[in-house]
Amino acid sequence: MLTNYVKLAWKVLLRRKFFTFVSLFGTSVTLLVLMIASAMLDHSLAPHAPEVRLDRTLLVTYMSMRGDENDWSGNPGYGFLDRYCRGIPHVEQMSVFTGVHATSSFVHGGKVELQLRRTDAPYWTVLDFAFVAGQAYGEREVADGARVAVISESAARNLFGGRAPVGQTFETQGQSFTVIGVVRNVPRDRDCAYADVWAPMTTLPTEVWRTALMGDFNAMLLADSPRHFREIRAEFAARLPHVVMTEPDRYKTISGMPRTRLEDIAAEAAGTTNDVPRTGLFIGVLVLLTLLFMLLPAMNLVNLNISRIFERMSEIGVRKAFGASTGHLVGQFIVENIVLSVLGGAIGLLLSLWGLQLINGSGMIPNADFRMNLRIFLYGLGLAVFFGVLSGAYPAWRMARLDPVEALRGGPR
Amino acid sequence: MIAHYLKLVWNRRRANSLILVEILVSFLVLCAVFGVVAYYATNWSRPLGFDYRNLWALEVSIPQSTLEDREATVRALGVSQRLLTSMNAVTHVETAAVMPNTPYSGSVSRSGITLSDGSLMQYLTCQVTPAAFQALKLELVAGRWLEAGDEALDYTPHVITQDLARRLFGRENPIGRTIDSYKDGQIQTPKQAWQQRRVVGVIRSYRKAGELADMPYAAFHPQSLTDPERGWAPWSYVIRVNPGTPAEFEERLLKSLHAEAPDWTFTLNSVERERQRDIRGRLQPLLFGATLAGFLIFMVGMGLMGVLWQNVTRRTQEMGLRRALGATASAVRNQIIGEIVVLTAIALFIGTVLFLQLPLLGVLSFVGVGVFVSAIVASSLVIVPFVVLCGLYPGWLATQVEPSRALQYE
Amino acid sequence: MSTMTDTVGAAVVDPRRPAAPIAIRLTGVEKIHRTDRIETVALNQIHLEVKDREFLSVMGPSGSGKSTLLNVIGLLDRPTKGTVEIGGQSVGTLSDHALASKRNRDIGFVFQTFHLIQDLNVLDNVEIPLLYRALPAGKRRGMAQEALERVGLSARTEHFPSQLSGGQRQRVAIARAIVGRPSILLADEPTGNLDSQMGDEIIAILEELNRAGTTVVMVTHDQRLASRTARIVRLFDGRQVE
Repeated sequence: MLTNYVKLAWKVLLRRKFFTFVSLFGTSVTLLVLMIASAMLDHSLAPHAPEVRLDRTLLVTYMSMRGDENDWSGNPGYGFLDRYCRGIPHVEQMSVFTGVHATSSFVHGGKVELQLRRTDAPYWTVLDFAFVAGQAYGEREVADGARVAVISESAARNLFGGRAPVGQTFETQGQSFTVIGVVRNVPRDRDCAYADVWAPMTTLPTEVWRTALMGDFNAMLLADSPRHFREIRAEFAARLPHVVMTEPDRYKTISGMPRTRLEDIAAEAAGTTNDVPRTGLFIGVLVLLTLLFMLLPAMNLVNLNISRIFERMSEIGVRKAFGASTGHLVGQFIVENIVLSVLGGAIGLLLSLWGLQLINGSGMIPNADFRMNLRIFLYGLGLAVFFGVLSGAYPAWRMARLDPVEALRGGPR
Repeated sequence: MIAHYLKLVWNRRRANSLILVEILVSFLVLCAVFGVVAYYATNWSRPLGFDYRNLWALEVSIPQSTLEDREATVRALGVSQRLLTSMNAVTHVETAAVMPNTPYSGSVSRSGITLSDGSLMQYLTCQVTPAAFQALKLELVAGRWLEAGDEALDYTPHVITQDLARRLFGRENPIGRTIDSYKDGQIQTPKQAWQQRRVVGVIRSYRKAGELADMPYAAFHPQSLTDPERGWAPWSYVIRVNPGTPAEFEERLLKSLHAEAPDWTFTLNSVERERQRDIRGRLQPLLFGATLAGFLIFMVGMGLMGVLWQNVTRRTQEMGLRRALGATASAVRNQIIGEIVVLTAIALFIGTVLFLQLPLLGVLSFVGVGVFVSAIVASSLVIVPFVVLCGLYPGWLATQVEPSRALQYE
Repeated sequence: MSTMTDTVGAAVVDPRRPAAPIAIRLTGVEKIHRTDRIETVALNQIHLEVKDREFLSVMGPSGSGKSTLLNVIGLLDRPTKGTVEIGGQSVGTLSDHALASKRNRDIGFVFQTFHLIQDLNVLDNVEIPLLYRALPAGKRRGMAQEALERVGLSARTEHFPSQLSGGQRQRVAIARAIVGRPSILLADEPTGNLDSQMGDEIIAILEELNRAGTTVVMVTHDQRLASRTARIVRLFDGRQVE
């Protein structure tokens, strides 16, 4: 029976090429946009190399100090993270590192732009970089303040051309570094991992950063399991009132919370300086935007489907008059709709694969490496079916209510 | 005739409602896109106030544990003085100055005041050395610029932009007036006498955020490089170089700076490059949004054409009848197009009312009403011809109806 | 030339129009329908003269070409051969535009299935021919009201066709046909969708219009109705017989 429906649906769709084309175009473009957006969002939120353990990592990226007349919000300082965040139960590993900063190096009279990040040793165990040469620096290099660096493939190419990078030196910020490792390029959206040059943070020019409560640092807290996030946060919150403020006249309290990547993004998007990120709101807004975006094409399709029904009115009337049940007719119509939606979805999927390639190559987001995976493909399929149901339900209902006499006459009234 | 189309469309409003909503949504999407374009265009037409060519921005990171450490501040000021001297000594440098809000940069330094009517206002606060005028190539329109010695007066001289002058003092002469903050209707007197902000000059403009943004209020006052009471060590500078300066200038400058202050961090950026990045960063999302809007509207157009086509095939008898009653073929085509234009007009009317709620409710208050109006006009000028275009084929189809055959349809 | 007015007092036929003795003249008219494979002869050598103010019936079995004849007279169809004169004017050389104009001014149509526009009320329906004459709204409404009074429906101007009986709908259609004061009225089976009582009412109205000066050509298959008219033309297979 189902194959019958599908064959019939195929014939009907071929007969009315214009309508079919419009429907396919609408569905595929909508799904194209939605799938590319999903791929990009999924990429930002899900664990991807080198942030392979993101699902059990909490990030300390934003703290606030408040006084009567002053407030300072931003990245925490090493002083705060080192003194008050170590040894939290259920945290397997903790890494402290700076943000990424643009810096330059001059070679053969040309300028090479580099994104520089300074880290501690655990950084390389919490994150999984793909080394193509050499290795990372360890506790000893960090303790010694050794002027060594790990660089990315493109940095190696820009600085040294074809020469073997490991062992070479380069200068930046008035300091000279020796390359001890080369890693594959890291996409920009890997917030904690992205950089061109990684060096021990003890290579920072002064010692002032060691005690500051606020500064330019972030921390990754690698939990043994996401189930313990609540306990970790509770312990963190319990330690805050015990922080000794360094400028008690200006700032009296310090506040903040370890967050997941999703919460981080939600907080940034919402622009809240609130310590409690409104993740629910963020997701809610995303869902609302998705629905709104699908609204126009869905309405279009509903319109078209109603047109299709009216067009075949006399056919429907005749069938009903000859005893076809409403269920049979509605079923056939819905199958047509689903065939159309799935086709549109397939085209949309192909187009989005191509689109992602385009984005990766365009350089809008450095080192972008967006990819389709099963999860995103299933989202897309789900969306396509949802789309089909959405745009078919109302017309199908209208069709079911159609009076055969009216239909034969060519229309209501 | 239009009244006739209106009657037809209105009486069929239930059947037409879906297509009306589609046109309405398309119109609103277009209004959003054109609104952004109009906003950028309005901003672009205003004077920038400075010259971004041959200009460099230097960001400096001073390792200082707290701001309260007076000794450290004095040391840092001394280093800053020497840095400024060495900057000016580098070949190709025309002039260098202290400048906190460098053009197109992400960081912003602002002051907020409460006006006499209770409203809050913010303006860029730029603590500079006098050479900033030549470095940025600002334009003086009234009064005087800052000069050496201004940082030690018993008041703080301010040079403000024309927009700020107008906002604070209306049409009155701003020279000699003070910039005050109110609390409960009373002027707040500053803690120290020298902190009183007195206007000594007006420049045409300084739009730090660039041509596409709208940051019209800025005030310049003197930076002291000797008195730690009067300010902190500067964290950014602007450097103007001769046109045609070769690329090694960067390396040489950074080397001499590092020699002067080995434990400080320096980042040098070409303002022209930052400008390109800023413009690209603003136009890219706009382009993306516009492409998306284009797709959506194309889809709506095709859907519209399909619905109209189906409409015409359903109304062949009516078309044949009208021909019998004396309508010419073009009258019948005009009716199809006229009906959809009337429907569009209704949608546009509703859309305009909805869109104008934004300025009426004070949302996006920094955007002038002109932008909203331009957006509405531009969108209408796109949607109406587009709708007519979609109606041309169905309209032509309607003229192909043979009256004799249509009327005999049983 | 004399103008006869009806009992309501308004002239039904435009008094400024000079009365031509022959309202309609068809000479040697042929109409052949051609498709890729078949040639159908709908009308074959029709010679017809209808005098001004005549009431003519056209009868014949289905497929005899009655409707085609009406279409040709009504300028909805151009004959393949032969000439058509309306009100003394030959229409063979007229452009589509001129034909539409002539239809609008000189000819009124009444159909078996009424062909009223469902989405417009009675008054708006009747006004339609006047729209194509670009008359101001006030004048249009006035003339439409008059036409509806003529057919006795002035109380129903705001109603929609779905709210009227079959007889009332046909009366609206007649009002629409005469609103522009044409000299010729063409009726294609006007009582075909009505019961006998309503049908009689309609015929009575047509007769009244004819007495007031309108030339009426009516296609019908009802012998009873046809015999009420002054003259009957019979068609068979596209030819005049008898």
